[in-house]
Amino acid sequence: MKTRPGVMTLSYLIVIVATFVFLFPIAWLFITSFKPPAEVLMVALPSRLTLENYQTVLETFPVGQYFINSVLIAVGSTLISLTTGSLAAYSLSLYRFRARQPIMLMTLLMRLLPGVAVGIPLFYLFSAVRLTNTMPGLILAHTAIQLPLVIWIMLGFFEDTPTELIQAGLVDGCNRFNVIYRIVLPIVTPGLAVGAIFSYLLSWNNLDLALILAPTPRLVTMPVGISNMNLIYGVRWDLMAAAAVMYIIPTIILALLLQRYIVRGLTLGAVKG
Amino acid sequence: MAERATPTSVAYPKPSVKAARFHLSDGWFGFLITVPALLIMLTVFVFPLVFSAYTSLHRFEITRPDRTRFIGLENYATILQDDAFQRALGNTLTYVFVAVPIEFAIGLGLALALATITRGRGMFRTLLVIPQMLAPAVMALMWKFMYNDELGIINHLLREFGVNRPPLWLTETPLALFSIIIVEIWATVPIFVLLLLAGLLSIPSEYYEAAAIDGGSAWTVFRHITLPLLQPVILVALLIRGMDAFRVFDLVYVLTGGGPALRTDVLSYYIFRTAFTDRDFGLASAGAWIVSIILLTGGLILIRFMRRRA
Repeated sequence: MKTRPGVMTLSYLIVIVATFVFLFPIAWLFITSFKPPAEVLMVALPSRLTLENYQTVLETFPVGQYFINSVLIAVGSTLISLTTGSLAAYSLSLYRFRARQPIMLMTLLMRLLPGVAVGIPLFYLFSAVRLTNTMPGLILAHTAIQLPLVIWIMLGFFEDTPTELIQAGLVDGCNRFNVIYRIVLPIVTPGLAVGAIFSYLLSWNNLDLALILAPTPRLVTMPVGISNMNLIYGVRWDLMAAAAVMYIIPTIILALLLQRYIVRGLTLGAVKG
Repeated sequence: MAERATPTSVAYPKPSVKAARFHLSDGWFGFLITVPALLIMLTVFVFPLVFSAYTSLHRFEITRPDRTRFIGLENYATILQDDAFQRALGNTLTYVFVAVPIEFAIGLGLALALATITRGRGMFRTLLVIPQMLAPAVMALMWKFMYNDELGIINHLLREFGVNRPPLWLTETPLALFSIIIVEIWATVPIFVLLLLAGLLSIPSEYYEAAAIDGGSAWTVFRHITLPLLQPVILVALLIRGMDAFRVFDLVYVLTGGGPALRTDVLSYYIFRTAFTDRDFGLASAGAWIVSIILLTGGLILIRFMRRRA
């Protein structure tokens, strides 16, 4: 259908203005982080760009430690949820057994519940088995919130895998694990990448469970640390901006890597087809 | 799942060690490989919820578990009559029913604009992917900085444009709640755009060509072709995003901490405070269950809707 030139111009205008509105706060954060400390109090573009804020924040706050904690927890939980979750998704897409429907329903409903509803009893149960304030405890909790996402993302990819290939493998004498390892995994590699990035971000961005389950300073993650910097130490926006930029750079890189698949992950495979 | 025996293995003249080994049916194999994920989900997610259902029926303090005693539905009665809970519920509902329709309207407009343009669509879409991937805690901090009266760019610009006393975005009521809603809208519009754009682009162009031949106006085409074909995507997006907004925690925690004077309290934050500030575990569990039941109902509606489509 032909689009009238007026409509076309208006569309471009809307898109450009909207992109500006949605990116401005992020750009402003970056600009603030590179300002000389004295100029942070002024609403203006910086007179010069400097890394002073980054240096100060790394010296005064254990931001490096926060960052490492976040990376370890996110990588650990992603590895577990990706391995166990894709096995489960493979099974749910290929095999028919009595527990199949209940498992699918459970994973879908799990995504809907608020973090605090799970975090509060988990805090108590983890205290009983001495898992509060431990890295494994936090990894386990994050694995649980990643699993529904991994399972639903991978289900979509496994359903696109032709079953003829799997059957051919079985006829040729592969056992069922060999089929997964040699035939299915190479086909769903892009799916594993998508699942991994989404899981990583889910843990990387998580505030509520990290706040509830690991209140010790030793295990503070980036989101908890940055929120505390603001809530406890008040208006050191110069330092906060530098820390926040360090925190979101990995996210931006992953978002760009992921953008082709993002719609699928956002809907949990729900709107597929 | 019933047939475990493998008649084929008996047929071998000399059963090898491999063939003689116990053979799993496909159903059992399928179930067994879900077990690791299932165990994690059951122990770290489902069991805690069951446990909190139990504690919601008891007087239960985190610090004094020895004083636990059964009180039936008293926690539920107490919480439903609690003014603070009612306010948190009211705020949460306002939050959802103001934010989500606006997000949808802006998202649809923007998706239509993106579907219309011919050059640079991929680039704009990539740029729009970024904001909604950021941690809500960081979104909240960025906006808290911009909302700041002295240091923030928003009030700075308002003063430049001659507004003498620009609003104190996060400390005035009822404005503070709406200031949080603005951040929520900023964070979520891109998600609606991406979902709706995917829906729009999947509508076959033949429909539009046929409409052009029939000479329908742009509005008629939108009303009678685009909207009906987009409807499933719209409903699923609204339901999922509505439930996400209902769980809001991070934005409130960082932006206002529920203040001023708990005027921006929401359900998740109320439950969090009840458990960790007031240390009333039983009451917090009752609150968590009320929220969970509301969300699970929403989830079942969503599933039923998706099944009907399939």
